[in-house]
Amino acid sequence: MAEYDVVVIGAGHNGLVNANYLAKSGLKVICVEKNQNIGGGCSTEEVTLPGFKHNLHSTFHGWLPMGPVYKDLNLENYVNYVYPPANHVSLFDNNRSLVVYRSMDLVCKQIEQFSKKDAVTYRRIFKSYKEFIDTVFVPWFFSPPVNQSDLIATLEKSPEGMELYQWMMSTPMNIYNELFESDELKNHLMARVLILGMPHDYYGSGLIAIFAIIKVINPICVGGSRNLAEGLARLLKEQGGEVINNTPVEKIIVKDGAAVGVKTAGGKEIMAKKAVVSNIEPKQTMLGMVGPDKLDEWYVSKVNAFKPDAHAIFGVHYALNDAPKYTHAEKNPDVNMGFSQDIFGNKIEDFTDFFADVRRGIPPRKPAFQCCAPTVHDPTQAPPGKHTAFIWQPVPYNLRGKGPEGWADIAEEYADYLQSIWQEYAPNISGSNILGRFVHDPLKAMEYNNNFIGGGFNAGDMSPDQMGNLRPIVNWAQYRTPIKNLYMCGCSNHPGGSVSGSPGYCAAGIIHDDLGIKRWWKGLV
Amino acid sequence: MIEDEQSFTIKVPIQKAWDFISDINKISSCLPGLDKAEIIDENTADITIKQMMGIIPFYVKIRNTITERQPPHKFVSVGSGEHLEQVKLTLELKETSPSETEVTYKMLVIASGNVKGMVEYMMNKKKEEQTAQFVAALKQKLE
Repeated sequence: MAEYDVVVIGAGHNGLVNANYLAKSGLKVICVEKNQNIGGGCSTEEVTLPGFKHNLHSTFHGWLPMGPVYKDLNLENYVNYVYPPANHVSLFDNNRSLVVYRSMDLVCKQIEQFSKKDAVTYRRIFKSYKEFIDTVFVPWFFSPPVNQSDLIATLEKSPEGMELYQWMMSTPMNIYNELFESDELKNHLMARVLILGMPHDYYGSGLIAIFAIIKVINPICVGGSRNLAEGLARLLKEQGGEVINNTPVEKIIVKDGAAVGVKTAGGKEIMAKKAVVSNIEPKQTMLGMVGPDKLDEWYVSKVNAFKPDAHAIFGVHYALNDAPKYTHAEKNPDVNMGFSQDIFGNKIEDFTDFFADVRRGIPPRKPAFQCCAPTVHDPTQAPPGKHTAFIWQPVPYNLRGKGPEGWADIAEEYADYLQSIWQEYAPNISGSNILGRFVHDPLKAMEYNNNFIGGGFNAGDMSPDQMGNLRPIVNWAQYRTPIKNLYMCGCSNHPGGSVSGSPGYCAAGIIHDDLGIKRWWKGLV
Repeated sequence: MIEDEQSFTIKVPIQKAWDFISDINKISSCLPGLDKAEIIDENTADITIKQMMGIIPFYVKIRNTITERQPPHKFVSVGSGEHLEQVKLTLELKETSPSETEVTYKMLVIASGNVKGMVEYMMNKKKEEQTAQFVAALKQKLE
């Protein structure tokens, strides 16, 4: 029987971040991974042809460099990032495009194509709220959840704060309609919000609409997203920790109300003297691995009520001879150099139509997808001279009348349909240019990684009733659980989905406090 | 915990500098972002600081008490307020010539509660700007 100080379940990036912070304090830590490959949402797999590396979930790690984890763990020694010269590119009808460069002046010139007034407003919003986002919102993101009343009380003390408070209570769609007149800019920004994990019409999620204007970076993990996890695993091993693959955890062993270890599907017991930390969403952790018999009825009902993501992801991954070449590049060659090319219709109202389909359980017939060819910026993700690319379209997890199993019947046909739309924008996505294709429908996504409940990428809906100090379970939002010494560190916890390391980092702080161990890191400062 | 320290020279005799600094009303007027100062007695003041985060003002109320006076060389005040366990200001004066005084400014801020990390992050981002404002205000009022 193996014995450690801490057992971490799930070697996704948050589990590994958590394990590293604990190991650096001298704790003996093991990270137990169900799959053959570590990474979780930072997965990279050769699903088409050998040598073609496909990122099945995260493709950019925008949050990681903003927070403390990258610096605290000296990750520059373990993982490299490249920054595309342009970020998101929105493609509209009639070869019109909006390229979001890294320079604000260039972004505003792009917006001026559609509305000079909007360019002025965009710059004003950026200037007015950048410091707030940098010094309030970003540290909020990398702190354990705080009382929302503290922030609201501060905002209520000034007219400027009250305006921001109203926006926070509103929806991204309302805010963009209030601020801007150009259909194209509003559509572009809404696509950004959706990519960040929020639908257009969630009341109480308005701050993300402002964030989407201020923060636009798309660092690509060199060699594929999994290299972040591999780097973290390497660091963990250097610190005396262990990572084991192909080891599903079946049970969390609870004795006298406290977690004392885990039992694997193979029957092996791995004991934890100080803590068990789960990087898995609460339904599987608390109801599956712990068991409802060890929890009170109220908590069980709250875990059952934890909602999956608002939409699932339908991904189509390609091995290509040549990178996608967009017709829109005839007018602006930089279109081909963006991190992604986004095809989400032409106006903001398209999101209402598209989400109506998703909510009815119908695969949307309106194009609403992001296209990305990581190898344009990081050639190491494919054999020399070749490329990978993918498109992902938000879809319902449960197909009307058929459930998620219905995807098995229609996935290839739906991928053909999306590909035919993509070809209208990038005609070279056809024939011999396509060397291989892999359809990653929501059913397959769940088979590969069932932490992402509902086939999404946030391991739980990012609706305001599941955010901040309400995530994942009201009154249990500080990474602790009702089982003593059992913690959660995945993106089902505050601040939610994305590759930030924040849930793992924040949970590590709480665990240090509970164990009476002095934190070795300085914190956000 | 946030700390900042800076030494600078003001072109006034040490006694004149001390008379200004040790007066709670006068020294309060130099605090960066001062919105309101209510003097309670010669050692105590309720201070409201307005700190801008972009266009959003953050107001911080601090009860500030002078805890140490060593004329004309050392002045210490200690305050506390919402989310702030301690705000300590130390000013040390040294005569460098009959008409010039070197001032060493030391600021220590310890936040508290569940927003501790966020508050200290904000203070850290602003500390150089705040120190510069304090130095400029002191020079402007004294020189």
